[in-house]
Amino acid sequence: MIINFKGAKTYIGTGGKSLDINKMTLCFLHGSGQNHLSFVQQARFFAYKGYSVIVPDMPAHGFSDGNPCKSIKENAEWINDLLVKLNLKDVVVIGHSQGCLVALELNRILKNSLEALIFVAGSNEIPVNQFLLDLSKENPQKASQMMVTWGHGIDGDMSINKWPGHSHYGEGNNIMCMNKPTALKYDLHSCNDYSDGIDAAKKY
Amino acid sequence: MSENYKFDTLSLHAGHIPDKETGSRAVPIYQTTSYVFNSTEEAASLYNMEVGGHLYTRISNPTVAALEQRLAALEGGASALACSSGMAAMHLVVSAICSSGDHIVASSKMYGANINLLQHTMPRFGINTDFVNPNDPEEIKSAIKPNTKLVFGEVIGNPGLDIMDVPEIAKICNTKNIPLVLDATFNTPYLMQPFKHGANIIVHSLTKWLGGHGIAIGGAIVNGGNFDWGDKDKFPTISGPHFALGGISFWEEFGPSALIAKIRAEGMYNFGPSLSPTNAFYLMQGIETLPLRMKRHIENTHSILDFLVNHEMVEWVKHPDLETHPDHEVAKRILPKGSGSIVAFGIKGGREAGKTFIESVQLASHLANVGDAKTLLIHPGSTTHSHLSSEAMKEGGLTDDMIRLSVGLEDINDITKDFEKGFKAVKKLNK
Ligand SMILES: Cc1ncc(COP(=O)(O)O)c(C=O)c1O
Repeated sequence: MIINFKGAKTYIGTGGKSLDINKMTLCFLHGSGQNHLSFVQQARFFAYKGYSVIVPDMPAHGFSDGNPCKSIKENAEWINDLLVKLNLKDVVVIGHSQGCLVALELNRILKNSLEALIFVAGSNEIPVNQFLLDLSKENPQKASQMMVTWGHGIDGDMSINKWPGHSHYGEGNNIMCMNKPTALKYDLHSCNDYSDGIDAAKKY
Repeated sequence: MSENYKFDTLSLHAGHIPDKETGSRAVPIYQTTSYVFNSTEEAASLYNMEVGGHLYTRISNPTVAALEQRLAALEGGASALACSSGMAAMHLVVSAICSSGDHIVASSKMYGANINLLQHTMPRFGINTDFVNPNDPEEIKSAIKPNTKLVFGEVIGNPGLDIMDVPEIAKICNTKNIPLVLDATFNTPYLMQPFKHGANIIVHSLTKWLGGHGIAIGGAIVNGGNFDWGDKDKFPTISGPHFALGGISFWEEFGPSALIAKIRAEGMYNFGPSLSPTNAFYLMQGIETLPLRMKRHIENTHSILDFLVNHEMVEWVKHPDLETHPDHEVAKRILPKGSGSIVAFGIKGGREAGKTFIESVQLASHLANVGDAKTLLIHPGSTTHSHLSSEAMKEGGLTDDMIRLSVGLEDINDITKDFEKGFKAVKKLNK
């Protein structure tokens, strides 16, 4: 669904079902340079298993307009405001990569009132090497391509996929190309700059 | 395409790693119509495209999927779908994108069945096509109307060998937000990868060079994933709610693979032009040697061109790698490895000479296919077009002396020796 949020067109994937705020909501948070399309099948799967699902495209990602968030905390505040706007109560947050850091900070804001936090390929910190940080500024397309390549390993290289006919590389590159060109650089810097993960995890 | 492996490697490996259970190095032929569900829940999820996997071979099959994923890798696409023939692929694309009232701009110089589908069949369903000169980007631009939903052409046209200036045409389509759909049968991804030049969708007849051995009919659609289908008024059945999966928006849920997801859920479900697993295996065996074969096809073609251009019995020779070809400059730019292994030439002595030549050669096979490992010939003037006068053939861009040659992989000296037999017979006739 598309809503106007903080003055910008904002897309929220709902897995093919309309959002029912009375059900438990699974909120998927995408990783650096990604968007709702990294959770194509998970969103559909859970939406059709009786959950409400939201997969927001963060600002400047996927189908969302607006300016990219510039830190993990800013991402977390944006998500928090979105949950308030949508009036969602029983929320499980599933973060992938950068989404895990955002989930940790979101939990701090919400003082541990989330139903559950689930981390996929996450950590308390995600340092990014200088080469990739620089490349994401100078040539985000090339940076995306490299991330897609190491992100998928042999299955990506050999075009192996349980989803018939699909290529992780071809799809991954195009998903990342849908974002505004500056999105990746802010994402990677947000990850690299974030060091409060242990603190956030310990406190809550 | 893979960052870590090169084209030749992907031709052999993409789409399959030895399976853990049996260790089978070759892609197994899953000759089955259907797949046992582990639970009702799993079945429901498969039907609803919530999980990957197979449920019925008309929709997908593991052997066919390996072929699809190999093609996606070789073209650098997001996804691919293999089907029963090149024509089935063409029809699936047109019917997935267009509805009654929509318009297509297409090349006027294409394979006969491609022309027939758009000129005669689709208008019965309210989809009309304007045909334009494929090597005139300006003409293509001015033919685009508000209801145009795709631009279609053959990278290398059959049989006239016109070359489309793909980057220029892609720019036009891109500014008008119309997908550029290309039949890339004659070039194959070895000679040119259309997505790198801005095309959006590729249609292949796998029957030809990709399969490469004249043993199985097959087709494929490769989706670049680089087209924005988000305009709900323009592409309502891709971005708007679709009946197939409870009002799904393929664009919102599948993004770069929206088109292939839609074709699987609608085209394969409701028209059903599926590829047999065994034929998928045969075609994949062909693809394993695509780079080797294409290299040799081009080498032999260049030798044959030398031979024909200098032959006293030859009136004219047409191939985009010859400087005399009107699209030579475009060909050099977008097809630097060579522009395929089809050659057209005219024999001194007109229609009778063509007929005599074809009937006198022994090694080259007289038949209606192209892209076999073996050398093939056809003389339209005495076969497919024998009912037409010389004048009528000219109007269609053909001449009655024209021979279409598909250069094979034989020893080049054996091919030229064989042709000499044909020329000798024509000489006798001309006396
Ligand atoms: C350029 C081109 N496209 C498509 C086709 C149709 O392919 P198929 O015979 O696999 O349906 C052909 C067949 O000759 C062809 O030459």
